[in-house]
Amino acid sequence: MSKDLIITQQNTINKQAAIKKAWSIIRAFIFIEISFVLIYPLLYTLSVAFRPPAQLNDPVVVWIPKNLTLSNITEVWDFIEFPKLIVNTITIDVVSAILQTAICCIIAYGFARFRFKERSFLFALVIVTIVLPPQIVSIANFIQYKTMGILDTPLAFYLPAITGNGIRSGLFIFIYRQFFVNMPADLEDAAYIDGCGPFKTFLKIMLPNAMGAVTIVFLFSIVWYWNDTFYSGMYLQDLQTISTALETLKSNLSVMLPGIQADQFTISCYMQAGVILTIAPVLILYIALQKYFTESIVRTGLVG
Amino acid sequence: MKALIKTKGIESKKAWYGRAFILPWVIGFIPFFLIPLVKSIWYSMGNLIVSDAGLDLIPTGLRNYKKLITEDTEFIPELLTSFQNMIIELLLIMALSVFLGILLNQEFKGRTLVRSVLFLPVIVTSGVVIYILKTDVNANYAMSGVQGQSFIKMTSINDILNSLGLDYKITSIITEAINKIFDLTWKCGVQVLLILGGLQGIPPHFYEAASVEGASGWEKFWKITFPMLTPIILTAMVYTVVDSFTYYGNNLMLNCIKPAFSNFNYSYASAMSIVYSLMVLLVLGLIFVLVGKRVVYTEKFK
Repeated sequence: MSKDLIITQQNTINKQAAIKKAWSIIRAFIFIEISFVLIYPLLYTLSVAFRPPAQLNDPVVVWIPKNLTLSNITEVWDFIEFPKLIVNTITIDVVSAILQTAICCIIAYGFARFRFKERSFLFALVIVTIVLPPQIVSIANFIQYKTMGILDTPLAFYLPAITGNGIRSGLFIFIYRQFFVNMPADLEDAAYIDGCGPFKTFLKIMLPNAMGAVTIVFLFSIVWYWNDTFYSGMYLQDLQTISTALETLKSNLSVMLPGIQADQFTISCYMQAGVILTIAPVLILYIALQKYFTESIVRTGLVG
Repeated sequence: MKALIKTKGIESKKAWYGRAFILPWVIGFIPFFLIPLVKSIWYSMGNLIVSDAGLDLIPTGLRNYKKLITEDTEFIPELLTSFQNMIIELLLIMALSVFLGILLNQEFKGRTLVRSVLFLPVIVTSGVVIYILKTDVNANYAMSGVQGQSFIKMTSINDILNSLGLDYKITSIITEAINKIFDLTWKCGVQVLLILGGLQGIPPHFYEAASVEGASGWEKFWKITFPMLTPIILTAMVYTVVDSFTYYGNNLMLNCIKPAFSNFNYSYASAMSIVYSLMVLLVLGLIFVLVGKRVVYTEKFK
């Protein structure tokens, strides 16, 4: 009797182990498939950017070029004046992203942890700023910036960012708010009982606990500012950032390149080199922040 | 009684602190959003002429809107198609994100690596880059013989489903969905991250208690994981809708600004973007009505 029981138990354990094993294989398969889908265009970019243009038409060369070359990168580097662009992009986009990350956190805290009459109404307005397509205000904003004299200066980006009305600020306020709303009230109450004012409580208690959300918002914010062409193209016509340069690269190349070089394959290679120059800084930042980024999600959780 | 008055005093003081926290937003909202919005609506009801001398608005009432609805043969049908596609995409993205989020939340080797890879598209391609990659990969598709754009093409599945007696319309939606997997995987980086964060926030003792009670994995998902995820699912849904409506390659969005740049017809462009925005608001309103009521909050703070 007891022997039978042990055997059946053994069987169930074996069965469970088998299911677990099969599942891990399926899971590995799914992730390999998805990673491939996601990395494929990057591999393509790398493969094309570092090959001599002539080999783009070579039927023998599909993925791995016969010999690698840096000339595409250096040519494009000079063509778009990369150092100047990077300085522009950092002074405009990175600074705006930092301002936005900080201010949205403060605003969201006000929406999440205090009760006042007009709160719901104002928060509904925040949602409206998220959902309305940017063109609806951009033409009027353009004219307004022109009269204010801040067109073509970084101020056209700083001022909206520092007041929580920059690129996708509403969304960041929303993310931060979701995060703060679900923080336990005990944390705050303890601080109040100890005699901390709301500002001190925010800085000393809530902010350190919100670093996970801060990292996430900071990364999003920098990426969206960096890749923006809509606002930059409109408000900063003389000040080029790296994304607006990339947007016009193709037409500029076809016009400016000397006749012999201006064939389809050279332009294709140069375009991919331009893509690499554009995404490399953000990619490096992402890899640098990556560990802290995932860790902070694991540790604190971005609770909604 | 005295205590009551005192709490009331603290409450009103706290309210003012709350107002102080959100003050910067109000200061920015008025000049950078509210005034331009009102102006846009004003522009849409006339004919705006921008010259070096300044702005000149010839009021025409609702003629732009009338033209948009009755004369423009492209705008309204395109709006409806994009609405339909968006709903399908939204459901697929949400399902895919929850699925991937749960997979990524399990313990396995190389988890950090997979997480980093999944989030790559957001870093790399939220703008002009994806556009270049897509057009270029497609242009080179025939040349290099490498398959681009869609990795899983299942045309034969159509025949199979048809032979099972399914309606053509349904089968085409299914095959569309499968062909879209490439695009969708690229679009759900943020959502997966949100879901993953939400999963991390579910207290482990909920699952322990459920195991003691003898709940199966399926039951745990529907009784614990899913309800606990509802707030984050709502956030992710809002994000998905907004993202797909303001996406760089969104044809409709480009069409909205076309009249402004090709014919300097700012007024007609304003009218278009206003109708478009109303559409977005309608979709989000629907989501809040249908999903918002089912959201479970652990800590009531309303």
